[in-house]
Amino acid sequence: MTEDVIELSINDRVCRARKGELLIEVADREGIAIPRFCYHKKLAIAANCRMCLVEVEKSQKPLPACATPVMAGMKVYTASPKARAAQKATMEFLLINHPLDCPVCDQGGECELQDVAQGYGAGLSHYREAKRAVCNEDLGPLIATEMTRCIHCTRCVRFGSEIAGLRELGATGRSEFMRIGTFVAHTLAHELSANVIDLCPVGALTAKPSKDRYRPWELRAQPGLGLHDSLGSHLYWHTLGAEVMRVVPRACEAINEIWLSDRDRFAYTGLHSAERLHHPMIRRQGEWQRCDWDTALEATLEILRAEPAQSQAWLSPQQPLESLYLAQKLLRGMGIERLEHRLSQTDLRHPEHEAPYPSLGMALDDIAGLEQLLWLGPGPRQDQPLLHHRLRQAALHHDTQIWLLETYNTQPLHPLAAHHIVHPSGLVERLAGLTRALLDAQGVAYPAALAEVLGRAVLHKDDEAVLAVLCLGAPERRVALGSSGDPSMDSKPAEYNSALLILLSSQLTLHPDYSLLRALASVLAEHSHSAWGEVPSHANSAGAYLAGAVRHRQAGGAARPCASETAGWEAPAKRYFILDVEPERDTAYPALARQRLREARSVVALSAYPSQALWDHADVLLPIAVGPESSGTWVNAEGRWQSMAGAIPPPGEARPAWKVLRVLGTLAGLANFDYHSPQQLREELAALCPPPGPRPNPYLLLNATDTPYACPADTRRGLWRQSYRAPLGSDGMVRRAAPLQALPYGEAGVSVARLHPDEAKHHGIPASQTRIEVRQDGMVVDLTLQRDPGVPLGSIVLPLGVKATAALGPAYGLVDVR
Amino acid sequence: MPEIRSYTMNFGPQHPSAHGVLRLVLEMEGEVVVRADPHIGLLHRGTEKLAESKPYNQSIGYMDRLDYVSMLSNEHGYVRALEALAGLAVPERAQYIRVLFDEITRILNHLLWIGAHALDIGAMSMFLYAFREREDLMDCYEAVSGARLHASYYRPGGVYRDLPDQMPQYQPSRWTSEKQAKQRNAAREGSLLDFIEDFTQRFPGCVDEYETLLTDNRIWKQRTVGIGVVSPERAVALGFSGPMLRGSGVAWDLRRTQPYAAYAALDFEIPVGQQGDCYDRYLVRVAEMRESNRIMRQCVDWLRAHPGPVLAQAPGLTPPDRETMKTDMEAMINHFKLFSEGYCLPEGEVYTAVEHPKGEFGVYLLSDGANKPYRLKIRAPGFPHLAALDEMARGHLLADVVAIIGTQDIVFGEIDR
Amino acid sequence: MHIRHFFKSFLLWELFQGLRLTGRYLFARKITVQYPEESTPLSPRFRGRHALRRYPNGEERCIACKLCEAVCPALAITIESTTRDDGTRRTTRYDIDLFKCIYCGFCEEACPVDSIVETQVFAYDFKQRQDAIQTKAMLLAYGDEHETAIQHARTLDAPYR
Repeated sequence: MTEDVIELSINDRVCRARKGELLIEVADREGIAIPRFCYHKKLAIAANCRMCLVEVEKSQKPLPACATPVMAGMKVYTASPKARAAQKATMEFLLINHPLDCPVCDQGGECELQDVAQGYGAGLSHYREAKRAVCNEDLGPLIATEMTRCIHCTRCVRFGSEIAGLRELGATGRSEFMRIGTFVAHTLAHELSANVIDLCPVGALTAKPSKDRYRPWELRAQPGLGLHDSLGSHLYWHTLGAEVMRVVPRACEAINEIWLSDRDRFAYTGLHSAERLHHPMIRRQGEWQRCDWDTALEATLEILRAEPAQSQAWLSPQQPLESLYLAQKLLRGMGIERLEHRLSQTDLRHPEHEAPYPSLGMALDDIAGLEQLLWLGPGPRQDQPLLHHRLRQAALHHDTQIWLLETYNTQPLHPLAAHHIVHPSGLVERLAGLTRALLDAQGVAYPAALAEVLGRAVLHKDDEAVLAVLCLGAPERRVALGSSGDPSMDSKPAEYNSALLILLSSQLTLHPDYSLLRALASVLAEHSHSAWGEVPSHANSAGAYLAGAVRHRQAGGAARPCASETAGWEAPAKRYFILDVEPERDTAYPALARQRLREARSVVALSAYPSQALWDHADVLLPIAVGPESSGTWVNAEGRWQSMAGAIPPPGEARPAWKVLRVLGTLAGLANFDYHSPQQLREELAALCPPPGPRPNPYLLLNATDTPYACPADTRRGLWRQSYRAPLGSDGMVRRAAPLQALPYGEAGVSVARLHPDEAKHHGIPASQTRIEVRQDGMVVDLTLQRDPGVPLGSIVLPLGVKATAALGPAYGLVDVR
Repeated sequence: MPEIRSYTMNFGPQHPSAHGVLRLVLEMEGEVVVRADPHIGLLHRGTEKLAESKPYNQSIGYMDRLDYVSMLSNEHGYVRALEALAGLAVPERAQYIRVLFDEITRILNHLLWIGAHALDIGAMSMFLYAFREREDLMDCYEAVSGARLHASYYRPGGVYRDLPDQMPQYQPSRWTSEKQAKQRNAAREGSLLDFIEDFTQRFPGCVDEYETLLTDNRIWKQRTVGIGVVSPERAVALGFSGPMLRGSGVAWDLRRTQPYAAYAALDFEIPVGQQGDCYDRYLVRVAEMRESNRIMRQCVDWLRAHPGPVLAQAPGLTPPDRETMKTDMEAMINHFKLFSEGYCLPEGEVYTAVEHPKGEFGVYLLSDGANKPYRLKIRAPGFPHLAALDEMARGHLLADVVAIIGTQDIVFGEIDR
Repeated sequence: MHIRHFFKSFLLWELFQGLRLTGRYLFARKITVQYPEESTPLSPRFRGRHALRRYPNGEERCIACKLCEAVCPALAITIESTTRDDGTRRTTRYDIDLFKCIYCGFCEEACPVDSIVETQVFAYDFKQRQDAIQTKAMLLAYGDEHETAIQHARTLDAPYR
C-alpha cells in the first residue's frame, strides 16, 4: 500500500481510496449507491442539493459525500437511520415547490428526481401550502424550458462556465426566489449548449424538437456516430418505430467524453424533410418523371458507359467507406478516372507531397498532454466544437500553450499564448517566414521545391516567441507509439506523441495556397520535431483518401499512375456522376459548378436531398439513404475506423448508397461486385490499407526534382474574399434541420458579409448602411453587412454552403463591394 | 361369436365432456379402457413466459385466466408470492375480504363443477340450478371489481377497492312489474355485505336441493360409487391435493395445516372422505360448499364490525389513492413510477400456495431484482390429477372415463397455462 | 331399517323426491331476465367499452402522459403525441384495439386526469373487423355520448378509489 492509498469503511465494508478522493467517487467505484442531484463527475463540486448526505462517525451532522474528502479510518454509513432521515428530509424539501407535472413532463420515466424520490424519499408529503411558480424564458429553438420544475442544482450554470466556456445561464435571487436563467434574455448560442438537456436532472431543460412526442420507455437505443464533423462522436439514436425521435450522447472518453455538439444532436430533424428524394426520377423530354429502379439504373449505366474519358465524378466526403470504395471501384472499372471528393478544396497541386490521409496526427485525448500547440487557420470553435473543447481543456487544465494564427476571429474560449489575426496571404507569409527562420537557426538547407518561397520569406516580429518555442523541439520528445492492430478494428491509431503539435485548420482547405501551407507546416514540424496534422473537413475526408476517392490514389492509399494527366474537379466534362453532393453548397466554386452541370451532356446523381442545381440540370436522380438509415464506416480525425449499423429504414424507395453502387457494378458486368454485407466491403478495404502506424511526414517526400512551389500571388491589391464552411451548412441533413437553422448561427444568421469597420469606411460604406452588395467574377449577391473588428483589413469573410452565396464565385478571390 | 379387438380412439379435443380441450387417446378393449393417454397443450398461451416480460402487476390478469372458474384464488396465490418476496404486510380487513372472496370463489368453482359433472353424467337440470346460484356470486364479483368473471381485484398489499355500500338494483320493465322488481331487489337494498349475508342464509337450502337431486339418487350412485378409486398412499404419491386428496381419506387442507390470510381465526371443518371413489369426492365437495358458506358468514360479521384500510400503505409498492395522487407531489411521483416501471422486488425466490378449490395452487417466483420476474412457475392443482387419469381409468368402461374426468375437476386454463 | 330401505328402493323413493323438486320449479316463477329487453343490474365499477372524457368546458382531458399505454397488459393502446398549437401536450393518435383489450381497468386506474374510462356498455358490435380499433375521435364521441352515465358511476365510486 503506497503512501497515497488509504483505507476507510463504507457500510462496514473496507474500501481503498487515494488521498484527496471524494467519498462519493469512492462509493461510485465500489458500487455503493448514494443519491445525488448536483454532483456530476465532469463538473466542479457544488454540494448545494444536500442529497448525498451520509453519516460519518465522529461527525455530529451528516456530511455531503460529494464534498467530503476521504480520510484514513473513516467510517461512513450511507443507509443508517441518520443517513436515511437526512435523505428523506432533503427529498421532502426538494419536492415542496416541485409542480405535479409528471404526466406532462418529458423527463418522466428517466427523471432523476422521480427515481431518487422512489428510492430514498418519504413517500408522502406534509406540505399543504401553495407552491411557487416561475415564468419561462425562451432559450432558443433547441432547449425547452419549464423553470418551475428546476431544483437549482446549478449543473447547467457550472456547465456553461466550466465546459462550454461561456456562462449563458446563471442563478439570480436567493432562497425561494432563486431563478436560473439568462440575465438578459437571449438564445443559448454556444455550440455545446444543448448538453444541459442531459445534465438537467429534472424536466426543467428538455429538448424542444422532440417535446411531448415520446416516453423514454418506448424508445429503442441504437449506437451510432456523429456524422457532421470529423470526430465521429459516439451517440445513440433513440428510435420509435421507423423514426429517430432523439439523439443522446454515448460515453466515449477517448472522443467525445459524454458530450455532443448541438449539430450532431439535432441534425436528425433533417431526416424527414420535404426535400427528401423518395423515388428514382428520370427526366424525359425535359419533364421529371417517377420511374422504377430498373429503368433508372439502366439510364445510369448508359450515362456511365458513354465517353468515360470525358466523364467526371463528384463524390461526397460525408459518405461512409463502403460507398466511396464501391464508387471508385465502379467508376474506375468503367474507365472513368476523373473522380474527386475534395470539392471544396481549391488548391489540389502537389499531390505527391500529400499525407496518406488527413489526420490530427495524434489521438484526441493526447492533446491534453501537449506542451505547445501551433494552430494555423481559423479556430475550430464553430465547426468542430468538441475539438475546441479538447483545446480548451488542454489550455485550462493541462498548461498547454496554444498559439493561434487565424484569418478571422473565431472567438476561442480558452487562454492563448498568442492570438494573431492575419490576412489570408499574410498567413502564408508568416508561415514561410517562421519556417525560414527555423531552418536558418538550425543551419539546414532549404528544400529545393520551396527554395524560391523561402528565399523571399521574412520572419514577422510577432512570431519570435513561437520560433523560440519551436527551436526547443528535440528528437527525444517525439515518441512513435506502437501500432495497436488492424486498421479495420476500432482501435487507437499509432501516431507520434509529442510535446509539440502543428495543426492546420479544416477551413484552410479552402485557401488557394493550401498545398504550400501544408508543405511549410510539414517542414516546420520535421525540424522542430513536432507532430503535425491536418484537421479533416468532413466526416469521412480521411476515409475518402483511404477508399481511393481521389484521382491520384488507389483504394488503400497507393498512388495511381495517371494522376498528373487528369484535370481537377472543376474542369469541364461531358458527363457527370454525382454521389451525395449539392453542387451549389458543397463546392468551393458554386456558380462554376452549376455552369459545368448546365453545359454537360448528361448528369446522374445519387442523392438524398437533390438541390436546385440537380433538379435543373440532372437527368437521372437515384434516392439514397442518409445518416442512420444505412450502416457504414467512417474514419475520424484520429484515423480511427468507426462503424455504425443502420437504425431506421430509408424512406420510400431510397436505398443505401453502397447497395445502389453494388447493383450498378453487377449490371455493368464488372467483376467482384457481389458483396453481401457492408462488413465484407470493410474487410476488403482494410486488407488493402497499410497497417496502422505513424503517417510519414510529407516533408520526407520532398525531392530535389520536385516541381517547385509557386509563390503565392499578391492579393492585397483589392478586397480579398475569404470563405469558411458554415457550421450548419456542412451537409444535406444539417441544412434541413429546422431547429438548428433557427439558431443565431443558422442559415439566416450566418448569411452575412463580415467586414472590418475601417475597411467598410475605406470602401465608402456609410455607417448606417446595413446591407452590402458583393460582386465577384461578374456575379452579384446582396447580403447583410456585419462590421466585425475580428476580420483582418483587406479581406471580407463570406460563408460557403448557404443559399445566399450560392450564386457567387470561388471561395477565395477578389471582390467588389457597394 | 364375434371377436373383440382392441382399438385406439380419440376422446376430444372437441367433445362436450372433455372439459375444455383435452385430447384423450384411449386404447380400448371393447368398452373397457386399457390405457388412457391425455394429450394436453391445446390451450397453452405462454403465461409463464409472458409474465417474464411484464411488470409484476400486469400479470395479475393472467392469473385470472388460468383456472378460469376460480379466478380470485389464482390471484391470491400470485399476490401472496409477491408479498412474500417484498416482505409486505397486508391489513387485516384486506385479509378478511380475501378470505370472503376465496370462499365465494370456492362455491363458484364447486357449483360449476357439480353442474358440469352432473351434466356429463346425464343429469341436466343440475346444471341450471348450479348456475342460478353462480349468478348471485358473480354479481358479488361484479359489485366489487367491475367484472363478473376475471376480476383483477387483488393487489400485492391487499385488494384494490373496499366493498361497496350499495348493490346495483333491478329496474322494472315491460316484463317485470314494480312489485316483481322489488322482489328481485329484496336482497339488494343494503350493501354488498347484506347481499352476501342474504346469500349465506339461502344457500344451505340450495345445497339441500342439489343433494336431493343427486346424493341418494341410485343412478348417480351407480355411476360414481367405486369409480376411480384411489388409495390414500397412492393419492399422496401421485401429488393429489384438495378434494381429490381428502376424498381418499387424507386430512390435508392448507387452510388448516399452513394457515394464511385470516383462516387461522375462523371456525370451519374439513370434510374428509373414506373410499376414495367419485362418490366420496362428490360428498366432500358438497360438504365444502356448506363449510364455505359458514366461513363467508363469519367474514361478513367481522367485516361489518371492523372498517379500515384495504390496501397497505407502502409507497414504492402500492399506489396512493386518487385524491392524494392529484394533490401530493410524492404521491404523484409514486403513482407515475408504479404505473410505468412498476416496482422491483429484491433478489430471491419464493414458493407460496393457497388452498384453491381444486387443490394446492402454488406460485414459484424467482426474482433477480428487476421489475419483472426472472421466472414464474405455476403449480396447477389439476396437472397431477390429470396425469393420474391413466391410473384411475384403467379397467373402467368408457362412460366411467367421463365420470373420472369430471371428478378430477379439470379446467384446461390451469393445466396448459 | 332394512324394510324401509327395501321399500324406498323398490318404489324409487329418492327419484320421486328429485322429481318433486324439479316439478316445483316447473311451476314456480322463472328467474329468467329477458335480455336484451331488460338487463341485469350493473355496478358503477363495471368495466365495459372505453371512452375518453372531457372537462366541463369542453377541453379533452387526455394529456398524452402515456401511462395507460405503459400499464396495459395486452398492449392494446397505441399513442402518438405532440405539442398542440396552443402549447399544450396532446395526442395525435390514441387507438385502443378492442380485440387485444382484456378489460382489466388498469388504464382507468393509471390515468391521472380521469380521461380514459370504461363505461357500462358491454353490448356492442362491429360490421367490419377494423372497427374494433377505436380511434381517438370514436372514443371522444363515445365519451360525449355517455358522459352523464360516466359521471354518475364515477361519483358513486369515488369514495373507494
